[in-house]
Amino acid sequence: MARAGSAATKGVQSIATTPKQLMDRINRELYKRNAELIARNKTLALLRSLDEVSLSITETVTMTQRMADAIAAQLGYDMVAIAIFDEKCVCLRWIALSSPLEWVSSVIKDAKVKNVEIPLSSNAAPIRALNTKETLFVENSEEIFPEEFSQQLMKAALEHKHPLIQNTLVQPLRYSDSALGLLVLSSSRSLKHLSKYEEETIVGIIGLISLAYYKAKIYEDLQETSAQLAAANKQLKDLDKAKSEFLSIASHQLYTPLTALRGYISMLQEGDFGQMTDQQKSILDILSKSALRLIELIKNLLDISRIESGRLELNLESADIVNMARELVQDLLPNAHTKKLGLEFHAPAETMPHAVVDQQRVRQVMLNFIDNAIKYTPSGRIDVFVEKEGDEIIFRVTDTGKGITEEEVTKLFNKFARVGGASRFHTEGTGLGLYVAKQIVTEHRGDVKAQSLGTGKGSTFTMKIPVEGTAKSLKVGEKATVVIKAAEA
Amino acid sequence: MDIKNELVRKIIKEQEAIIGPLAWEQAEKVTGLRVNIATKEVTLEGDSKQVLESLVTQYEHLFGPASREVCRDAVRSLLSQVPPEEIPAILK
Repeated sequence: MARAGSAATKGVQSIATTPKQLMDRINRELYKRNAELIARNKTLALLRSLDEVSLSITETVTMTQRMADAIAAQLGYDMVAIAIFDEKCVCLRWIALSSPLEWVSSVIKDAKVKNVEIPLSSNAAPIRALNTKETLFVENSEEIFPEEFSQQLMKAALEHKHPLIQNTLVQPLRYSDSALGLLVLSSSRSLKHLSKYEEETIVGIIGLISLAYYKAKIYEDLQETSAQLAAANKQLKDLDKAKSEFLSIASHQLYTPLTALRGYISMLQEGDFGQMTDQQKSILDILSKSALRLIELIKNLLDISRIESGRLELNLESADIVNMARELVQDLLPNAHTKKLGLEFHAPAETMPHAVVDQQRVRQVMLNFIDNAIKYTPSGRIDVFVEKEGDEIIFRVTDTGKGITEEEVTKLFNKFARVGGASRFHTEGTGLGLYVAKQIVTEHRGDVKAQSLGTGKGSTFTMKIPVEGTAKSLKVGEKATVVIKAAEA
Repeated sequence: MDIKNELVRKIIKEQEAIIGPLAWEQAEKVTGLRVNIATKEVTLEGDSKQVLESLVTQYEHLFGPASREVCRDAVRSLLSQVPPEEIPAILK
């Protein structure tokens, strides 16, 4: 009975202690996990504050200084420093230093450590850390910082009866394969064996600082490039303005005497100064054509000059495009027949509405299309059409001429563009007509297009103008000026 | 004496972050510590090395080795300002 009783007591005692032991274990486990959570929370809080700095400040030096200040305040290191790789001097430069200790802050403020450059070619400890991409432990701060600064720190530590800040942890800052710089943590205690929390925190902040600095650097570079582009753009605009003004003055200077020249040639041809011989008539004919070509060239140059300076105003009226085209073809028939080319106007089957246009300028475009067709057609014919398509009037010139390649078509309406092989047919032309034509038609809210099946297969030039009264059409009396859009200039 | 008070205060504050007001209640039980729970003030009296050791042991008794690590982390940055012979082994 006694033995049974003793066993029973022991059993009761086992049952009594087990819950307490279990509770102890639970408590300790909970404590441990809670402690981890608190540590992680602190890390997150620091990372959050560093992230806020990186988002609110884009200037690299200020941003890194504020980051160094946050790390120094929250992690309890005696000094935090950030050095950055400078591409201009191919060296490391200290750009941020911070300390929670007042006497260290004074030393930092007075020292010229931020002006010191460490050439990449040197074998100094910071350069070794940058190149090896590995963490470096140093127990003598003179290996890391400039000698003068280290000695000032040492002197101040002795004055304030503080242990020497000799222990330094050097961590490379990297983004992808680029070496950005170093994060340096200094303390009077040994930094060789860090707690798990410290290690995790340092890994986190290195990543964040590297990314933040990389982004800030890109932003700064972009700002610098933008400023350079703006300066270059201004210079180009000034040059362009000077060129336009020169163009205008030069054209006027040439235009007046040429007009007089042509006038007198005409008078000679008409016999105002006596009958000419056949030979003289032939010579005068050549002179007249040459003078006319020069006058056309100068007119085009003047138009461009006016367009580029925003002075080519349109005189808008309701116009019969069909009649304009018919009259123009009649005027140019002699030119076509001289080259033994057929030139025919195809009237539309239906009655065509009017368009609101500057008649002089649109006639200039039509003339340009037909004239070009005559120039670039060695044999065959040219057909001129006027049709209606939806809310637009289409003026079309088709020829059996030398054609245009796909590549040339894309550049045809650019300034000074000419189709290749033009010299083969001894064609005149400055390459300005189509460029001016495009500007004029565009200002009328229309469009121009060139099409061709290729070299030797003829071409088609089309001008589209909105019908009067439609949504796109200009209005009679409305003010319109032909200008160059920046993207086309 | 100020740095020693600071060490004690940091340990208790760090424990408070994990276990709450219980940290102050446990500190009150340590001989050599005068604790005002209401104002959360603490003054160290007597042998500081002994008192620090007792405080850390008090927590370790309840929550095991993890709590000792917490105490060490709490004062790590301040230890360099204390003469080595005055730092208890439990905090080194």
